[in-house]
Amino acid sequence: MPESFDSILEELAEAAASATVPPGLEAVRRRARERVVHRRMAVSALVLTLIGGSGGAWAAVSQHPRTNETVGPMGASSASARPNPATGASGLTASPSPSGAYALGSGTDPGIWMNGSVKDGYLIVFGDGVVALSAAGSFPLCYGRLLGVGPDSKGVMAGAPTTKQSLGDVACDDFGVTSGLSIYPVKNGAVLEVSVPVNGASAAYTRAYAQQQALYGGVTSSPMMQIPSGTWKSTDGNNRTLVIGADGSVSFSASVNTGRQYTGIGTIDAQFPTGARAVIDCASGNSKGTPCGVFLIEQDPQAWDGIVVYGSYGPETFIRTG
Amino acid sequence: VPDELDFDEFYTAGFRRIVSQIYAMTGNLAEAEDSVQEAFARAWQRWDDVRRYGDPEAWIRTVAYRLCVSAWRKAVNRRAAHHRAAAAPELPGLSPDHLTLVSALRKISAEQRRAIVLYHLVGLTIAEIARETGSPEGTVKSHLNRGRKALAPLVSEFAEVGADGPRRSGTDVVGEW
Repeated sequence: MPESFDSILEELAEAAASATVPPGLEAVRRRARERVVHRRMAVSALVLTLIGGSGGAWAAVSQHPRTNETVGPMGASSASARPNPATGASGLTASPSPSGAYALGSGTDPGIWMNGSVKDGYLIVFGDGVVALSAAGSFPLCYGRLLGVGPDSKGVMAGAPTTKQSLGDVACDDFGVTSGLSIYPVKNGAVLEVSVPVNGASAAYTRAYAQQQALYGGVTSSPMMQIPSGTWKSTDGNNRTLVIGADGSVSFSASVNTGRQYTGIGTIDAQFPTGARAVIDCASGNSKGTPCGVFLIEQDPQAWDGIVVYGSYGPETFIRTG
Repeated sequence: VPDELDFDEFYTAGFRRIVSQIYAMTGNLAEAEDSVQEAFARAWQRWDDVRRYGDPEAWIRTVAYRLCVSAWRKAVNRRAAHHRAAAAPELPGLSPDHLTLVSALRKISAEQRRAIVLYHLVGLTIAEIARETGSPEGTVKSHLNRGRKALAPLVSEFAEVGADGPRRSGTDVVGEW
């Protein structure tokens, strides 16, 4: 091609722009209003499904092939450190139907925050008050739960607490404490700070997390229409494998910290428009059967058959191997 | 009312430009138009937030691109897009150079194409592309280099300069590669 690549690419784009007839502004607004109606219809259908297990309501929401195995969300026992999905309107999450099938949830998408550019600096706030945090040397995100946020609370809006909240049920070795942590918004909500109390010889400190606009609220993520069952392998060469069952079961194996291999099993306990959360019991590195972390799993918008797994190292692309 | 005026201006000024950029990334004008309209609809719903972002146009472009590459959305809209495309040929009167370019772009991966379009057409720096795509800068450089290598047999400019790629005028970030 005789012309420069830049200029011919620009000409091609100009040709596309010329061939484009922008729809009127009212058409855009109408489309936005229709989106609201469709989402409300989907929520209504989902609620009907959850309440009655009616098959007819599935037409409005995506559905995964049903199985006979029931895998419920994490138990609601207060003695458990596992996250408990909220049931209020502000944080509606999908649950298995009586037959064990999953439906796309309509819960608030999680907010994703990052501490500088360090690897161990991710924080995810879920609509039900679960706060997931990076932990050094861990693959799943460790987590705690906002104590002041109940199912009907307005304490969490768009993936962020609106007031200072204490964290309880902390399953987070990295912080060395299981209580006394708190999280609060600063800089008009653009930053979240996590306060860690004194722990033995370690002084108290705070860690700031900035809002990630590209991911905030999940608005730029592709919708995940069903559980991405299969075997997935990380593309970073670190030999992390995730196996997701059609019934929502999740297991992983990972090699971290100079080859230490550890594994874990768990289940998907909540779903969002753009992804699903899995809560994990680690089989080594922690006592077997001990809740040790969560993953946020989303469809990879850049890969036809890939998922993005948010673990302690932030979002990682996994590709299907089986 | 001021919000609506802001949005109106933003929409009027940006719609065609963003469609052209998404088209260059995806090669499907009908899909590009539809996804950009959907992105603007989503922006209007949360305009109070979007307008405060440093670069709302980047937000629209990112949303539109992701909508465009969503396998689910493609499956749902394939038939409608096919009918639209059949009713109105995409870009009539393309020159041989343009056709060569379209053919060349179709031979590289979506990630490489996106990086090349953001760099060469939109004019973003490596760091800006990294932010927009959510990828490390090294990954962006890799996509650009590999895309150029793949295009080299078809685009003489890249063949001449090899993997380093041509240098852009103005802010020269190619040297970082």
